[in-house]
Amino acid sequence: MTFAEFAAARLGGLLRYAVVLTGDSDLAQDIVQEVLARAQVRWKRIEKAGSPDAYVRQMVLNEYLSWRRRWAVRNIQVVGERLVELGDRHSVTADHAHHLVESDELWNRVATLPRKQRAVLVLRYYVQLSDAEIASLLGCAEVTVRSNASKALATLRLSDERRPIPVAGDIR
Amino acid sequence: MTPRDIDDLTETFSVHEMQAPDADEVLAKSSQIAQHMRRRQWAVRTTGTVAVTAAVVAGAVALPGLLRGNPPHNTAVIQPASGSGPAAQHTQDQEFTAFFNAGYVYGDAQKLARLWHENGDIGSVKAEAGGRLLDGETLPVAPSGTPATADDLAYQAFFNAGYTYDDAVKLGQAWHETDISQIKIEAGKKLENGETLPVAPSGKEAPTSPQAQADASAAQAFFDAGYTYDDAVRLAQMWNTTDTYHAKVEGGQKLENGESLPVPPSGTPASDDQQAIDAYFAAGYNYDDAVQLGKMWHETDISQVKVEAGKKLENGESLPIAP
Repeated sequence: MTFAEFAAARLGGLLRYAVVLTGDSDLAQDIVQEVLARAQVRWKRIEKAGSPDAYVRQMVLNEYLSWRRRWAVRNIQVVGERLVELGDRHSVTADHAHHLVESDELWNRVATLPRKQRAVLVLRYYVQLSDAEIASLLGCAEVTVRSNASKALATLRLSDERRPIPVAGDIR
Repeated sequence: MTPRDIDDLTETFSVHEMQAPDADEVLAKSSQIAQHMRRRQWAVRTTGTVAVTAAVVAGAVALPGLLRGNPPHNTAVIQPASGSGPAAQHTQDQEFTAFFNAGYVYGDAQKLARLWHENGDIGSVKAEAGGRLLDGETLPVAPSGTPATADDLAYQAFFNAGYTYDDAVKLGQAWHETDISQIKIEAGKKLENGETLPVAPSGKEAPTSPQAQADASAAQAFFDAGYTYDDAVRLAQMWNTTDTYHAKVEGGQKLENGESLPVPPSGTPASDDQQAIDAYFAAGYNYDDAVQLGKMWHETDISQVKVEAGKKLENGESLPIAP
């Protein structure tokens, strides 16, 4: 697979992953651009590694976790502003938009999590990886993954359970 | 806030993944960054930050497949020499030479640029194509010209090693040979085979000399200011020289002296941090190495580690771990 073929097939998914991981479209663009450039320069080596998609996704994850502190400062300010704005908007939101606003509110609260905790949630509940796979990606123990997930969910005040699957009679 | 569960989180991720930026724009910008990285890799190597093999120092830029005595065919497929390094180990001059030696011409580079969606910088296209040829890849466009013959390559090896016409005359006297062209070819073949000649080159000084290092530093300043190979070609024409390397050195020296050049740079000047990061990767270090260095330096910001490590490399210092 050439780099051009890889980009054509995988870039869309990679960008969606980066947006969910970073919570910020601009940062996702910065990270993916930098990662893609490095991947392009070293493509032969990456291709030989056997799984370019996994390799590049790992690069995106690493880049996100190690992104410069100046971004973190900027992002916290932006998220803070968003939360204030959201609070104002929430008080006057009509009922039909309530669900969307709640989704935004949860999204903004996820943005306030430490990067590693956020990464654990994204890898668990968006990429649908097991804790063992996440531990391997992050280079830590499974217990650390569980600990990060637990802290993140507590911060978000989320229950670590799934909704019961509705039975036929419940569907209206 | 109403009670939430994990499905709300999954749903939130799914809703917001749609905010992904435009893929075409990301791809175009990443290509620009990659071009810059390649230029920086070349610049860092010429300063000696990265170990360069004796063959490269001597300027042996011939195609490996042809070096082994294979007659050239009208094909762009070049087999890599055994033990040759990864793609990132080629210098830009090697890549350009490989491109032209394979029979490619400027028009072919334009065709490749269209195929690869590269806008404007034909020099980078030639370098990319040459690098691929050196890696044994086949290009999607056939060469319009004639590939270099084994004699052509030997000829290049002779001059790239710093030998001159006068040296060939001296060799002719030592070998009792009067055909100067044939002497250059024979001498070049010996150099390709790693042999030494009975006469020292009187042309370029060895790249490890202080003068050559100063030249390499000036050439790096040229690239750091955003100038490209094509800019060097334009400058060489204006300064009535055919030696583009000399144009880079001359241009870099002027920039270092605070003078401006008669043409604007085609590329983007490198930031200090970006230069340092490029130097770090060009030296063969990777993310895992940065993690290791971060532990040693008690620094958790891996990007900052890369920058610090790259700056040390640029200053000629060595790092506590090998790449």
